[in-house]
Amino acid sequence: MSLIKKRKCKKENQRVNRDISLLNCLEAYEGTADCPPNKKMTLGETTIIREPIEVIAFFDGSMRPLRFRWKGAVYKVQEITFSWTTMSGAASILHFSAYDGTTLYELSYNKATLRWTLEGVALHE
Amino acid sequence: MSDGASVMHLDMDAFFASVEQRVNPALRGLPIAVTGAAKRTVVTTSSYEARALGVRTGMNRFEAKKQCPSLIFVSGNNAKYMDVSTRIMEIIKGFSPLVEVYSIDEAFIDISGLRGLFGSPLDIGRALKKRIKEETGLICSVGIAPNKLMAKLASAMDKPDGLSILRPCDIKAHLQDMPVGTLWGIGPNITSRLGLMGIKTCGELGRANAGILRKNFGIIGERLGAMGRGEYKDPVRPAGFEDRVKSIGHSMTLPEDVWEREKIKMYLLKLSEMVCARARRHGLQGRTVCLTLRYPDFFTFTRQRRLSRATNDTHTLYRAAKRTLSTMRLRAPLRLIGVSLTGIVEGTRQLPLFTEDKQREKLLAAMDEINGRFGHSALTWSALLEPERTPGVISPAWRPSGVRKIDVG
Repeated sequence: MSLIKKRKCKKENQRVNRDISLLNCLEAYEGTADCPPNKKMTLGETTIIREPIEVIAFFDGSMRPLRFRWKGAVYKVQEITFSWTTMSGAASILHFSAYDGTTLYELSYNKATLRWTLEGVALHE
Repeated sequence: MSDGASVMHLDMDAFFASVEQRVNPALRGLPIAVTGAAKRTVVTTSSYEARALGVRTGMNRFEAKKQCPSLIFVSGNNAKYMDVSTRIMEIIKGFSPLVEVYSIDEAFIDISGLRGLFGSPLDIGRALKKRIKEETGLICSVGIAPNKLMAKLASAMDKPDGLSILRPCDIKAHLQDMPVGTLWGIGPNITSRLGLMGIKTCGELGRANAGILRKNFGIIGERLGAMGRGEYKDPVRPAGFEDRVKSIGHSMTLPEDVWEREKIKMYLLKLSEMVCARARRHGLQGRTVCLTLRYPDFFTFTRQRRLSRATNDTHTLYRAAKRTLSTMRLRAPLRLIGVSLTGIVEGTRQLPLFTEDKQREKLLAAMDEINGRFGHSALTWSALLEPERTPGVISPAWRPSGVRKIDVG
């Protein structure tokens, strides 16, 4: 097998493993108040996660998350589809809708605590 | 301005739905309906794809799904819409300082002094639409006319993504055969009353005898006649020049119909706290408490109670609302509860005379400070720990700043 083919294969395996990991993570939320057990997630719905994550972001006047790590798996942000700001008391919170090619994630950055949170995951396809 | 077009009306197209379609690319081009987060909510906005299939604002989930089986429901995120709206209003203010924010997705702009800076009214409209599209990815419709009434009409002429101008010379012909109900401010009630008088079109309304209109509609009669001719005197009122706030209120549609008095009281306390916290934040007090209740059949009624002095104390308002409730015999469980303070006074207050009053004032000030720093309801009454408030629908009275900036997130 050529080197390019090997790399492609490795990338594909990484992607499949990461998708499996995401599905396992989302399964863990079934049965919680945010995701009742007999309810299948449908397009337009968001599973609320609200867990801390690690993020690599690009700062250049504005901020753009590039990758984030959640439960051991790394997700590469392909596109920030939208961003907005909210206030929680005196703290300003930046929200990003991050699309990784298959799934839409809502990430938030609290400017007061300097912490990132994965707010939710929305089904994309 | 030579062509008389001095007012611009900007209306974001299917605002909430468009924001959701920007956020989630998978929703683009699909029929979607934005609803509140509560179970029994109604459609607040739908995408143009859904509208084409018969989905309308105000339909409940069942009706909307029946109309369009492929409809996708998206729970609205008010905080997101408020932020986008504030950004859009800032973009508009970059063109003219005379901006009247009419609702979360609509604004009137006085463009009478902008020709030298930005060119013709159509050039201003194009530039504004382009800036909004570039910075938010959203589209809007713009109407330009000599006054607010005609500008609002013009913005609806070519939706979505429209840009229309109504020049004074075109107005008469445009209104001639237009049904009166299409005019901003003429609702179904006035339309049917005009219909009984044989007035169906704006042309007929404009030509109607002013005396007869006054006799039937009182002081608004003449104004109606002028509206029929496309005349409207209200200027664009930028922030700070609006009418004074007459009331501060909150209401909520309950997750399920409620009979139990204790549960109703819990909601009254929650609403009283929301109303008073907002009043305290802006240094306002109210003398009259209004309690609004709605039965499952949508029969809605209001009861008022005048207080001995103006207040913004949560417990004074709560006690008054509770007393009002205790005088009523409910014939059915409640679907909606609302509490509001009217008879608003600004800048005057009774100094607390008794120790208990002083302590309460200090307690409320401490609560407000903590909630201001850590977020609303960070510190709240223990009786309120049970009912979780789901985000409601944004009131048409919402504004990006001031006392009308209501936190509904």
